[in-house]
Amino acid sequence: MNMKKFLSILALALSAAALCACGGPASADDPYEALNKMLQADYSEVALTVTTTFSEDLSLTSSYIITDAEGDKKVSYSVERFPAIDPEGSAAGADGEFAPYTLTGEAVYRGGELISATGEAALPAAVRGLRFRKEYFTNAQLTGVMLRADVTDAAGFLGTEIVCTDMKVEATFLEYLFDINIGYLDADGNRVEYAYRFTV
Amino acid sequence: MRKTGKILLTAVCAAFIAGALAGPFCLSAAYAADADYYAPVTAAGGTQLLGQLHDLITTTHTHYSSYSECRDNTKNTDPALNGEKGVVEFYTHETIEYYINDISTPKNQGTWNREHVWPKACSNGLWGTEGGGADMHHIRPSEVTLNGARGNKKFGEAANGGEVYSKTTDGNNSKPGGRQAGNVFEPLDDVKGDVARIVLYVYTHYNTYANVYGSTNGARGDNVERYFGTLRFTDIVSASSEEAAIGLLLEWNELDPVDAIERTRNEEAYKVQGNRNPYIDHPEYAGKIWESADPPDGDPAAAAAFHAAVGSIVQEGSLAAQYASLQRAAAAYRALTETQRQAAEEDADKFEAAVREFNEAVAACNGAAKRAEDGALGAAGGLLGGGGQ
Repeated sequence: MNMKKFLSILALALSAAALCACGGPASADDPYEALNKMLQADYSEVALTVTTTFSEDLSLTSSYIITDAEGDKKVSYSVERFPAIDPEGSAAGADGEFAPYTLTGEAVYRGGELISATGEAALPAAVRGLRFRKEYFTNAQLTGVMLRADVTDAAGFLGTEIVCTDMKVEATFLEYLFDINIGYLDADGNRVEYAYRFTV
Repeated sequence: MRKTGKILLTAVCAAFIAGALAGPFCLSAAYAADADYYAPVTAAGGTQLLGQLHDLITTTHTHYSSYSECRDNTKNTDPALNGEKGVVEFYTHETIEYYINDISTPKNQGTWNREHVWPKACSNGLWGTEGGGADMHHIRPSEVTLNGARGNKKFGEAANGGEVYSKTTDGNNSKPGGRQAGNVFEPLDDVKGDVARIVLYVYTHYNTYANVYGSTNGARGDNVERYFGTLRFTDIVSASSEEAAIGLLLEWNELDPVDAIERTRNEEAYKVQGNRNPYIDHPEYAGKIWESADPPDGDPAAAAAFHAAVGSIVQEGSLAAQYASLQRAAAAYRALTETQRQAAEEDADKFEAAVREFNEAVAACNGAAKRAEDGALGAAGGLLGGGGQ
């Protein structure tokens, strides 16, 4: 092997190492850290659907689309709510059908902080984020493409205080995340499902 | 004998000439034959007349058509004019040859389907495709595109609105069928009376007797009470009050007198169902009922409607069932005068307590959804530039 060829190979190896250090496709030894790195990767779009089910035929579903906006993150949302009754209100819509109405809007986050919002619903002012750690889970099945586990430390896993039971997580991935599904029963026994869908 | 023959011949000729002169009014002979139909109606006006008409058209309504029967019956109730093949379209009076399933055209344009003049979405959940939703006095054939354009819009004045058209089977505009502006649809002038008389019929028939001061909710021996409930004119007419809504209907009833199309279908529907639309036979009934001044302390029918609605409030079971019953009570509550609300204090308290309890349950659901959403977004921190935990 001549010197020129050796230097080319060395340069390629260094480039690959730098790419991994900068948050590119994960290859860490700790498979949970590899998942955390995938969370930090650049996705062109993340779609989040949150469904809260109160009974067999009664649920609310909200959708969020997260995209890049000149270095910030733009969230476009569509949030369902049940209507209350106003005894003095207009008769318009009083057709006897109990159906959710929808609130829509947009918000921009920078560094996890809400910096602007337009629309009809209030979004959290600051967010922290998921973290995958072995000690958060039990009954974990983790392969090179899939994680399935019961969550024993929900607050640690979600990065936010939460009162719930029976939380489970499923994630599929390869070099990047494909989807993460989280389900649990909230404090009132309602079934809650988060579904994150990632597009590179 | 010769004299008798002459008299007989004269009588026959007179009858023939009278029949020829009667021409367009020949159907009045059918009314004469059914003069007994209105024998039970003795009230001079007001809610008493309304109640008597309610009792009459519900007790004589001996056959409730299925929705598929409606389609077949329409070919007899609404035959095309001038002997053409097809049916006469409700809003344009043009001939439509094909029923929606009889021929394949893009978006079914140029064919007809069954128009609920009082849409089910405006019926407080009272009908879908049976009961009032399959009543031949209510259902009219309408060109599919025009029917879709009218949708669930309320009737009203839309002078500045855009024209809406029926379509040919080729998809071209055929004839104007009215105007629309926002959630308001205004039919052509020569259809306004038809609309008014159908709305008055539906209101008179399908309100419970408590709402119209009648005494029956259907034909004797039939289990048809499920078809009856609370209807208000503001459910179907775009107006600021019940008085304004009925005012518009009375105006339309006068503007566009009963025509041959309505008379024909009244006869045919009578053959099928056993009852008649009294506002076609006697358009003057509308004025006698609703032009009489209400008592100063409000319409007694409104107070009765509120009492009945409060008695029907669902407080157990699904939120959907509670919502429907509370919306009916709310509509009845809004129709009361302040004096009536004070007089109905006990009912008003029950109603307000039920609304409060319902709204608390709704707030609990919405709060749970909000907490779940905040949790999910919070968990997305790393995806929102937060860098994770």
